[in-house]
Amino acid sequence: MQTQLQKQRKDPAETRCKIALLILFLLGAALIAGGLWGSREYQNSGFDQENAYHYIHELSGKVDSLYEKSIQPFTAKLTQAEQDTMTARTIELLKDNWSSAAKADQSARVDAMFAGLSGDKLQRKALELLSITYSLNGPKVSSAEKKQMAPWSDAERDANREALLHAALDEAANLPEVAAKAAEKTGLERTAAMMQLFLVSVNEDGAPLPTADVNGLKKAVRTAENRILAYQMTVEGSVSLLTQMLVTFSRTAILLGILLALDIALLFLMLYKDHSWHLDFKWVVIFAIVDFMLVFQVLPMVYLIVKAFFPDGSFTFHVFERLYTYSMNLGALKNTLIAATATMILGTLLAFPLAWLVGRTNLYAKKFFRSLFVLTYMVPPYVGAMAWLRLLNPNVGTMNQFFRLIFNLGDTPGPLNIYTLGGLIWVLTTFYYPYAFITISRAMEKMDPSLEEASRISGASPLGTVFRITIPMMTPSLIAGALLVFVAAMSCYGIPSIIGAPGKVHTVTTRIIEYNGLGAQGISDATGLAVFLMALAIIILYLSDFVVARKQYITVSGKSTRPNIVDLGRWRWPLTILVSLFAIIVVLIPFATILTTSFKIDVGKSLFDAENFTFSQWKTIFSRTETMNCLKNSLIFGVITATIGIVVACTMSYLLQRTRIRGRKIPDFLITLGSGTPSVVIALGLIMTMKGTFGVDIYNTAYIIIIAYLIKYLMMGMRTVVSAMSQIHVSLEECSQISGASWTRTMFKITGPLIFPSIAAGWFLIFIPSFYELSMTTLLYSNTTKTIGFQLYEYWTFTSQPQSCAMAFGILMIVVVLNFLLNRLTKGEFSI
Amino acid sequence: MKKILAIALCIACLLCLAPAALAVNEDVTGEVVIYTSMYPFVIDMMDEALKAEFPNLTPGNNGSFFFYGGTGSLQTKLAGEMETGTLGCDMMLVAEPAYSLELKEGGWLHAYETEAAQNLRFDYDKEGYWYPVRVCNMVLAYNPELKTPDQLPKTFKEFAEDTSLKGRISMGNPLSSGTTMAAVASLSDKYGYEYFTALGQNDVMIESGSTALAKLQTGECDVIMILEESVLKERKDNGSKISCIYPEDGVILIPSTVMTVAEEKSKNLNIEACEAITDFLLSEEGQKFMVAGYMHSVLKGFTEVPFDSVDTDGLIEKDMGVDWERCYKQREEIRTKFQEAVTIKK
Amino acid sequence: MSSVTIKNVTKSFGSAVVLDNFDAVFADGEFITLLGPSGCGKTTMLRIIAGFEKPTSGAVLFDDRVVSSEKVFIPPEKRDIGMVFQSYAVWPHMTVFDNVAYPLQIKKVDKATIKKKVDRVLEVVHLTQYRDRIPSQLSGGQQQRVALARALVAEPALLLLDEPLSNLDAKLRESMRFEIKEIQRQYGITVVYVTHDQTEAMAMSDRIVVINRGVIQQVGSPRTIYSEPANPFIADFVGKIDFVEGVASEGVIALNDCDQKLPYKGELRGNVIVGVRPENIKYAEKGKGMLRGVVKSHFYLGDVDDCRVDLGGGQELRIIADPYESRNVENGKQVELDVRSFLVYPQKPGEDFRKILT
Repeated sequence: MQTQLQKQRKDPAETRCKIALLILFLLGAALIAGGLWGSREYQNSGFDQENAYHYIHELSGKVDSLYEKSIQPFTAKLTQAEQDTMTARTIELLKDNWSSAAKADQSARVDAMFAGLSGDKLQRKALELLSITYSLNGPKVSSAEKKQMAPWSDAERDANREALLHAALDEAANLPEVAAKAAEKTGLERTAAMMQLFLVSVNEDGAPLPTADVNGLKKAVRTAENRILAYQMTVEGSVSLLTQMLVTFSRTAILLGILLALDIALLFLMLYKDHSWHLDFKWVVIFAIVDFMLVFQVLPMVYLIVKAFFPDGSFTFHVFERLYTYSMNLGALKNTLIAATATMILGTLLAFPLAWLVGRTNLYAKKFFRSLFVLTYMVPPYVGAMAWLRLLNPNVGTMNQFFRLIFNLGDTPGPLNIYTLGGLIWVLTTFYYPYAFITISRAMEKMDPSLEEASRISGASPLGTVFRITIPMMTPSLIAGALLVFVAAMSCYGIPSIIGAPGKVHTVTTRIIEYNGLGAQGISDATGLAVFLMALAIIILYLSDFVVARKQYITVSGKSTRPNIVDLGRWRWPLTILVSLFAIIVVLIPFATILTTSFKIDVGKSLFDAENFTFSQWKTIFSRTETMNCLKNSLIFGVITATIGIVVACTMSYLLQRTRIRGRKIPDFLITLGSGTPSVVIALGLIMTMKGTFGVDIYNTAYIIIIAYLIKYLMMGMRTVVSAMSQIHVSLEECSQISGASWTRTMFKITGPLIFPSIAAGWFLIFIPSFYELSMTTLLYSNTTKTIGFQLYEYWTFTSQPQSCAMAFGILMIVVVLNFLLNRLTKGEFSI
Repeated sequence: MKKILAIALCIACLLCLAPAALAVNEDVTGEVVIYTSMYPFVIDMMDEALKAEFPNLTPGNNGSFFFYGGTGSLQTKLAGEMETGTLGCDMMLVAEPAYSLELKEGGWLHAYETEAAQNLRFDYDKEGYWYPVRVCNMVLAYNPELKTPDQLPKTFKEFAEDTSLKGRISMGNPLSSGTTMAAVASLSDKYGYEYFTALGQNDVMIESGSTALAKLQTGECDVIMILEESVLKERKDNGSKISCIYPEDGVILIPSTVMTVAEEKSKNLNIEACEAITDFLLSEEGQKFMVAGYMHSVLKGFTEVPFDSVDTDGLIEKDMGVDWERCYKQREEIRTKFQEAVTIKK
Repeated sequence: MSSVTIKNVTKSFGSAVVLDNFDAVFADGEFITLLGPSGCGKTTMLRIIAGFEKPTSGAVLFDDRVVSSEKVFIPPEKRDIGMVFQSYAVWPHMTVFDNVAYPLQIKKVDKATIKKKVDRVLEVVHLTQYRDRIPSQLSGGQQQRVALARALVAEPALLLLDEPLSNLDAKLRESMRFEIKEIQRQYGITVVYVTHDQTEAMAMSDRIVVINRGVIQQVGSPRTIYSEPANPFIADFVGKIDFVEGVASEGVIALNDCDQKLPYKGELRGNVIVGVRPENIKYAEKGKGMLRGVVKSHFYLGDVDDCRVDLGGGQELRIIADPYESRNVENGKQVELDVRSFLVYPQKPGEDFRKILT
């Protein structure tokens, strides 16, 4: 009895929810169906672009109104005989115009169109067809003539138009002044000229139908054959609003439909598993993010892979065979692997002791060093490459000259040569070790100091403690940092292109760009190589997540304990000097080189030569509007990317840490994958898939650039927010829930404020690389979306070195200032 | 300063020709977009001139008629657009005849026979698919403050074969630079593929023009293969002393062409405007801008030369010449041979 | 086994003085507790002894060896100390065996000896069956014992414990108290124990050092500290007590505001503070009591009766008595009280004794 009652009392909210889901699912299905239908319609039409339907629909109404308001009143004044003549002439004109445009006789077609019509209906159709034909394809009316017509008053206009109409019908009739040029014409040509003038003089601006729509239709239907069909459809009004939308946006509709249906199906599954039929705003957010990643990240990558394996539609390894047996590519592969591995090892070896010295000992000027070492993260890597070029080229490199002087080596080239694999590794290391440094530092700060103290008290020396306790405990972070360095080094383009190429050291990234400039086949070759990088990135990231996620050793100490400071004793000065030396070599000298070069006119001459010193490079940068524009663009893109990114990051970290939804790691994996994918691959994929083939056309807009940045840099912010959220105990949020707050309110009032410093830091970590990004922008830019990184690249390639150095240093200054501001904002809690 | 001068020049020219020109060119309407690799400052000048010449013509790209990009980037962009069936421009002022041949074969161009063609002193497509509109000049360059000419090669041949220069020479990348591609095609014609081998053995560095110029200044390189216009610009803008060596075995003149996109494949379907602009570019007035852009004019009897350069006709006599058909048809082969000889480590 | 001498140690962090002229001697084999409220400086003192902090001035000696002074500083790893941290600091990436064996491995003891010693100490802390587990598989109490074992395995001269029981539940705390004390007796080791829990201190220590705001308040045995606290702070911190103000004169103290008196044999005169521990008050027969009052609140706790008696004028005393004796006591009832013993302190002018705690 009890159970029966329970069965009857089904939760009304649950039913409502299920009904809502069903409706949405059906909507998705409808979108797919509609899109498919629209797509088929479009294909059958033969038009060049889908938006043809849009213009046809627009013009339909306008052509009707044109006839009723501006043509019919005039033709009605004619006698019946004249009207018949006019209709006949109009049909003749149509046949003539269409035949010459299509370069084939169209009379039969014309007759077919008017079959069965007579009287007013016939006249109307004929005149409407003629007006639209002449708008798109008619005899030219000169601007002089249009100028003449412009100042007419209404009465004048009407009078003139009447006269023109009569002139079209009767060659003997008087011509109004405006038709002076056409006076010499005869026969059909003259009739055509008169009719054209008649139609064109409807409005002051000489455009009977809106030019935007007319031009649009022109571009959407380019072949004469199909244009005639378009005229017919316009006049017959056979394109309804719904049709127009479904055809123009057919692919978008299909895409949206698929996404919606997929989302609803998944949502249904999740709610079913959870037995909680409650639709929350958070689902909208979650699915929005998942959809975003699917469309903009998974789709391009899958497309690339498919294209590589199916270049002509059939599965083949042929592309890969060709690419990878080519010795230059094999060499590039080898170089990439060697360089990335070496950079990873070297970078971590450097980063760990530095992080330890700066974070855990009483080294002098710790804070200063910490900021300094992180500085290289804030500068585009190719800037560093430029500097090292100056310093270590074998012929006249500044450092080489110095060494030669000290070691008395005479005038031979060397001793060090930057144009080698070793040189490449060196520059990569100096630029990517901060990734490891930052990761390790952060982990070190969070480690419970009593673990190290226990080791000390047990008899181990500070150094012994580092090796026995600190390092093993930090292994997950060390690995994470190392892998970050590996992936960054492997995907880098700027440094190998500047340093590697002259020394014949090629990497996969430089080869991809080279292939990319080779036309269509080149692009698919580039894809083949890109797939290699992608596969490598996937493997590594999976490994790192698998390894790192399993053993998290960092114990977050609840109390605000200060980490135990190790006294370096008599090593304090020597180590400080060593670290200073390192800082000078790796950070200060390259930056100083760039700065000094920016003030020179002739790179080869000395800075102190009065004639060679100039502010002009700097002046040029600030005065060129183009540069200011680029700066504006960079700032805007950076801000938008960072803001959207951090919102996504917060949502994702919530998903990861506060829910038990299965598959919640998938979006996380995708985000991580995005950051590991080489920039050129991302850009390539986006170019190929975002031109409308799949319903999204954002090519050449700012959107495609922002999306590219998001995909690449989202992870930076996410990791920061995730780790911050992991430290907030869930009970804080549960308490808010119990008090009646909705999910969004809890997020904004409780969790948000608590993790705000991390949010700020995460924002900044996304902002910086987006700000100076280069590789993707070179492929995705359009005239209005040039960024500062791209400008730098152009300066470097096409203008003078000093100029590009000034620009590079300018970028650095901006980033440093912003970092400083952030530091102030979060009261020193967070900057990098 | 030079901008003001240039504009004054424009206006002066226009005033001279005003009445006749204005009457005709008012009828040129609609929008036009031109892809070009001319220097931005030349673009600025040309925008002004075109706006004055064709007052009713609307710039199709955010207030400018032009979309600027390096030759390589533009070719990539166009390659991508070709996949979709329509291009994003109506005209192109980019790259050399080999590229024009490629596009012509692909059916992307519009044929326009113009009378201005009679005044050209360079080859052009007889069917009217492309015309040369300005001329680049591949030469050698050196830094007289560090080296004297007698220490340096006088011919392209010596450039590659003089082993005392090993590791101290530089040139562009034929894979990304159309002009370098043309140059190496021409050189391999004259000297065979052994020329590439020699370059490779001489450890020539492959990099962009501005990088190479900087290396001349610092002395890292002794002599480089570079376009004359880059050197002239450096001399004019920065008072640099870097000088050209006009190789005795022949300079390599590389015309840059103007092409109009076939109507159905163009952006704005405005053939009339394109034809009018082509005529303008091939006129004396239009040519003045080319020369201001550090390149040589294509018109017969045009005596003005770019800043500090030498007589164009004299150069034509010494021109090594480029077989454009070969440059286009055998592009892959030339590229591969070059790569294998020069860019692969031995 | 060694004695610890702390000579005039002062420690300041910037302008904040955390330890003020700390001077004490801990004898060899003693169980000394540093007792005090949070922030009083006891942990800092412990860390100075361990060598993780340096005193701003003063010296620390083990036996007669200077370990910390202006001229000398011996680092922690060379001090031959065992230490148990509040958070246990058991290394998560090593097994129990490895954790405990660590100090011996540092000393390069041979494997066989290590095994013997570790097994022995694991037996002492009753963790033998867990020797191959990793810490994440152990409970809090078990981890605590691992920390203890590790501290003892190298047979150090001195054992330091920093609030080791504060993270354990009540029952476990009690049993661990006993175990730690047992181990200390077994090993005969000098122990310096830091806690804020006075029950712990009383149960385990030979002597207690009561600290407040960086200053030693009193050093003495638990009994002394409890029955003869040197000032009202100690009296209040250790054990329960109620204070009443009064004026002392020959033979009597007149309690303020309530018009009652207590017989007094001491020598203080003038304004005084009288402290009465609840267990020292008994119910008296009518007419025979020293004090009179009305019962305000009354809690029957099973084994005792906890009452508050209002003496009048806002003065109150708490009495904890035998339930049998207080069977007739109810709220509002008039009762008479006998005070068995009480503490008297001079009241310094301008000082409010109620504000003694930090």
